[in-house]
Amino acid sequence: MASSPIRRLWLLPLTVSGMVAAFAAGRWSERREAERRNEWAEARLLSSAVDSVRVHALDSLPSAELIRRAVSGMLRELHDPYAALLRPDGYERYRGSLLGEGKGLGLQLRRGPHGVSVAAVVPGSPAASSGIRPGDRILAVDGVSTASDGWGAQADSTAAAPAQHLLTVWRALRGDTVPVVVPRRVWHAPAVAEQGLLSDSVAYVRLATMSASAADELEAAVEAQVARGAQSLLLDLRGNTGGLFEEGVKAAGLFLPRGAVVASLAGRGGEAPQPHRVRRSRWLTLPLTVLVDANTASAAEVIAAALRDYDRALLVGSPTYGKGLVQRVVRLSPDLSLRLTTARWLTPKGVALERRQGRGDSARGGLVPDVVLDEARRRDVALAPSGWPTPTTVAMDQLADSLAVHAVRDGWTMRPLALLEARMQAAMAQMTPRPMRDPVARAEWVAETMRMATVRVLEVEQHAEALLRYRARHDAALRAGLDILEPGTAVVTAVPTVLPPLVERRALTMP
Amino acid sequence: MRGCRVRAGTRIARIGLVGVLAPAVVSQPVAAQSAAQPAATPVLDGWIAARYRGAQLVADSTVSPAPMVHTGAAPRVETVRAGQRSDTLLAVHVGSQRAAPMLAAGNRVRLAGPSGTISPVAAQVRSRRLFRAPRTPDASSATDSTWLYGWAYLVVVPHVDGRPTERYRGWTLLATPEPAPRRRDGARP
Repeated sequence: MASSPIRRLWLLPLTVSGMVAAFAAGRWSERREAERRNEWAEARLLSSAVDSVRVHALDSLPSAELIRRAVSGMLRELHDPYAALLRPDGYERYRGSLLGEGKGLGLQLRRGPHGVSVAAVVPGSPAASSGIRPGDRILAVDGVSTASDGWGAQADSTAAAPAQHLLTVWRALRGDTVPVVVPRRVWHAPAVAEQGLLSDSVAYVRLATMSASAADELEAAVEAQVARGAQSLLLDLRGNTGGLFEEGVKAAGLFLPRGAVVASLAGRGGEAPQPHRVRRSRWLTLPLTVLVDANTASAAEVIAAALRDYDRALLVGSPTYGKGLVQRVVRLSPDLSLRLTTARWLTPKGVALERRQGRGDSARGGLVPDVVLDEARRRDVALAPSGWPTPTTVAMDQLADSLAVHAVRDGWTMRPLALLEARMQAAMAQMTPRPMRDPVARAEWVAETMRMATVRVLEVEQHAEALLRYRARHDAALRAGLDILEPGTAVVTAVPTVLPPLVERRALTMP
Repeated sequence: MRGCRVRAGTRIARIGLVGVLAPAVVSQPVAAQSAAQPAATPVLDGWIAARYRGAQLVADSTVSPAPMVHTGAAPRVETVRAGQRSDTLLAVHVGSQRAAPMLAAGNRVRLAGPSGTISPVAAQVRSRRLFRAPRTPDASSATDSTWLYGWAYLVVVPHVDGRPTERYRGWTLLATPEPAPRRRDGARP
């Protein structure tokens, strides 16, 4: 059948549009090719610059070092505060911190008048396996006295460190000095640093980092405390600078309904934010309060923000850091890796938390708590007050140490704690230094030194939960959190006591 | 409840509202409060509003002249503001129910360390305020169990030997017995 000219007309627009599309595709391809040529030209420019510097500069550097520095400069110009060029040791440290790998001996040390003493031993660490206990004093490491100025190199945790260390340890409980060999190996540093019951029904869990198994560890810790009778939870995220974003999502999800959006990731290019939802939900109704401070950041802020946005928890403490950004590591070569900020995360309500340069509320970022405290940081209750004269604090350290060892060896009863405190107070009141005769100063000195001595006794006796409860007395954020969960609860009762008069000076001899 | 309550969306707005409403609160008859009360209460009210998001202030007249209680956790110093000759301490004690206060304006108090050591320094309560603050993010006015009740106190401590007393954060306030009124005829009671 012959087609009429009118019928053939429908081919015309098709042909025209085909030609236009082919033309556009050609132009696009040409532009891409030109861009690629430009990129190569720019890369060649960089290469030429490096070559020129290497060949002509008066004080040049090897090519590899020049390129490394060029990349570092490029990252600096991005103004991304979290971007970095990582060498193998830096990459391993970063990777290890995210995986929760401990590489030291697992000792928390405190420098005192007698050298270095052990404040805490991390469970599962080489030091714990070697039998070192809190209260022990490290007199020497590999033959180098800890009292000498040269000590400190042994604390290095790089691969160059020896496979084991020989510690000379004065044992608090026995009073003898023994050599202890502690192997240096990689071990799992727990994300849950502390847990226990603050009262019969209030559980306390401190999540110190958001490493690879943080959410699982949190779940196990809460489960253990609920099994002991806990009916509410104080979750401490102070000092938790974050880690893996996914762990933050998982941890928050334990307390939120399945399917709820915990956070969304907004990448580059203006694409729609990618929601990250709860997959595993556990405690939907457990009353919950979260402690935060200026060092609560990143994945820890993911938890705090989600629990607040869903009205699951009140936040107590001070405004959080405001790191609403996510980084990714790109391996350039076996020797070099790039850490770059690749996305921004948003709270369930769509708020970005990152702090910006400049001043004012808009630049601050972070989360403002529901109960704002003057001082929310965790403080080491075993330390002398900051700002006191050094000779005074040294004397306090020495006395607290001596009295604690004396109390432990002599078997002073620790229950009730008020009785131990009363005995310590009576002893301390007689040992007040001469400049502290003023009644007010004397009372302050006795109160502080007694606190330090009591903490040392609880450390040596490894009464972790008693220590936790004792710390609540001195920790404004813990008390404020407890005020919300169980108003009016006094964790450890203190008996108000007037100091006995100064009768005579006595001195406890050093063991 | 006749008490004046303040609630606003943001903390800044609340502080402003507290400042406006506080004079109305303190103008109501309040037992056992000194003349210093009107000047000191806005400071205390502002502190409560800044500390607890969503806090509601309650006029003292709704609980006075209830007897004071002497049991339970003593008021704890949470904030210390240094002055030239004296310092201001802001202390609080809370409970799950509305309860009587532990101290009255004008009371003399001593300070006890967290371990119980009593300092001989003497301080004076200038004002107090009953408030309630949410215990849960979705606290409803109708559900009492979602609130905590607290008494906040403003206490003034003179400097001892010219030294500021900033170290007293975390210490507790202990009421000292008021001296018995002296009889004119000198007879012993």
